[in-house]
Amino acid sequence: MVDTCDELSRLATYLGVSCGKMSFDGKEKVPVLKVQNNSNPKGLVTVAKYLTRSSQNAKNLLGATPEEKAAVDQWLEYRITRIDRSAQDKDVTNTLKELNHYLADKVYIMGSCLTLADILLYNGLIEIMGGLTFYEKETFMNLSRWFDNIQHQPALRQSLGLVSFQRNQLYKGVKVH
Amino acid sequence: MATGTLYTYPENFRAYKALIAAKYSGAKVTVSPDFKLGVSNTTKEFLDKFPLGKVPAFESSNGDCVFESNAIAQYVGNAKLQGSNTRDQALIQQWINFGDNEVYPASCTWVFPTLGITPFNKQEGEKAKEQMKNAMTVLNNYMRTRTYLVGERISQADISLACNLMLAYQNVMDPSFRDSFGNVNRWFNTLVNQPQFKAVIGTFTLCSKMKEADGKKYAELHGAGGKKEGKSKKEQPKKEKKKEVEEEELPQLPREKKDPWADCPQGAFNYDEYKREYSNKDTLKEALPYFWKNFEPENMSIWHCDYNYRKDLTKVFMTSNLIRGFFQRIDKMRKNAFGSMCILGEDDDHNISGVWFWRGSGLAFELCDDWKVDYESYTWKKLDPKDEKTKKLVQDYFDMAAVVDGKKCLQGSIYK
Repeated sequence: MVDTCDELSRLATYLGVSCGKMSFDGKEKVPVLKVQNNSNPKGLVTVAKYLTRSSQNAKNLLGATPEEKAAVDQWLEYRITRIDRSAQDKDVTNTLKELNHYLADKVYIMGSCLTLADILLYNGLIEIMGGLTFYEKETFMNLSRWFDNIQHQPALRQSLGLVSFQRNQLYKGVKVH
Repeated sequence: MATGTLYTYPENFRAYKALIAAKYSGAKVTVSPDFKLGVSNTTKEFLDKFPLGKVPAFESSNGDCVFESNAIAQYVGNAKLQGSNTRDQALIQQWINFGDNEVYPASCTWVFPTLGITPFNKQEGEKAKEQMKNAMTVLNNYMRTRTYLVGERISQADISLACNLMLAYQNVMDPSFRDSFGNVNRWFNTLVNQPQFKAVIGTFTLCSKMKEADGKKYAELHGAGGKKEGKSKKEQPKKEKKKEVEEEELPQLPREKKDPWADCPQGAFNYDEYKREYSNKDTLKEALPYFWKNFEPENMSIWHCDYNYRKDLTKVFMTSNLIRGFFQRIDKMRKNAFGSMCILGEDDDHNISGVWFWRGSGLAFELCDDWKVDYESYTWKKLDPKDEKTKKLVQDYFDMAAVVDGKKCLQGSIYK
């Protein structure tokens, strides 16, 4: 869980803001950002939103309208409650199924442009997606397509490796979740 | 970065390709504001630059004259849109050509009869629908694993193909047709909602119900039947081109330079001055008194009209479009005419009526072939300027009060 600090500093780089000193609160298991007036924001989503709001070039990463903002918030919460806290494989599979189904008619998590929801879900899923077999990736076709599109933004991925996906169908009769 | 002027008529899907590309690249492309199809592109000046006389046509600030929409799009685009290596460039070309050759012809054959642009041919129509289905199936399978056509970012391929699909998505591909192409829909919807697209095309509305071929509209647009057969035949190709929003080819037409009003005495009535009065001042207190004070019965005439096909009018916004189209087609008449058209009645049961005045004592529409498109759909009655009833009608229509001529006024439009 320590790498949420890395994730946040990658986000800060992407947003073009200096993120200052980041530490990991071992007791509460959350990242903490040290800011000048000592009202240190705590927790992945809180810090991520703080960074986004301090950025000049984050345009509509948090959503443009009140409806969009609410939807982005919901997906940020999803990251924490459904992805980071999935303890068992069964939970993970269910989450992937759910996302795969949700993304069938969407290019981005919310609306037609990239938002913070895409970025945080991408980061939360890197490990899981990297651990899937090609067969499994094919069963989560829509999720794979979305993930591949997001990871192809060099500014977002930075030093992380690419998870490989197959464009052509490898297996016959794959049932897409 | 490319800077220059794009010549096109409004809502030209081909021009969109270039205008959207320019939004992505940041090229400064201005659409020529006073371009008039069939007029501007037949001038010698235009033909010297673009010998084909077709639009869209692009003139860059350093003097390059580029025609053909794909070429213009490339000219104003940037490397990001056109692919960074030969492989990507080739694939982008492939999808641009796919749009031009597989999608566009079929979509025109299918959609044009529904807009009354071309006559309906059942066999051709069914064939085109099949072709469209084929193309959509191919595209749908391809997009299953992809977000955008080439690479992971929007390229010219996405822009051009989406533009070529707009016509069909807007008019005929209703939910029951498009539901089986979920991957294409996802891609298309994402594109038309990108800020760069929206800046050019506005909000795109997908078709909710498949339009059927409209034989009546075709007849109306092409002036078929009736006593004016001989004249309207001559007129036909011109009108066709005007309506054909997607047509890139525009043969030049010989045009008469003669002023249509030449045979009507000019008189002293100042139309511009009156229109200024009308637009800027109170209708009842200033504009109408001005009108009656300066009205010259010997050089001008006042007319009342009713639409002949009341039963065809359903939704107010559609009726309103009809009026707007009428106004557009007689644009050149503005100089010496003024009119008010009101939609009177209830939402699903209304008619168009209007009061007009113009230079000359006859029906002004007959002065020029270009103006004859719509007026025969109305019954025209010349009003006696001395009659008190006329005064009341003029006042009702020009003031566009809630009740006009004893009927509820739903909407009014002024031709000025």
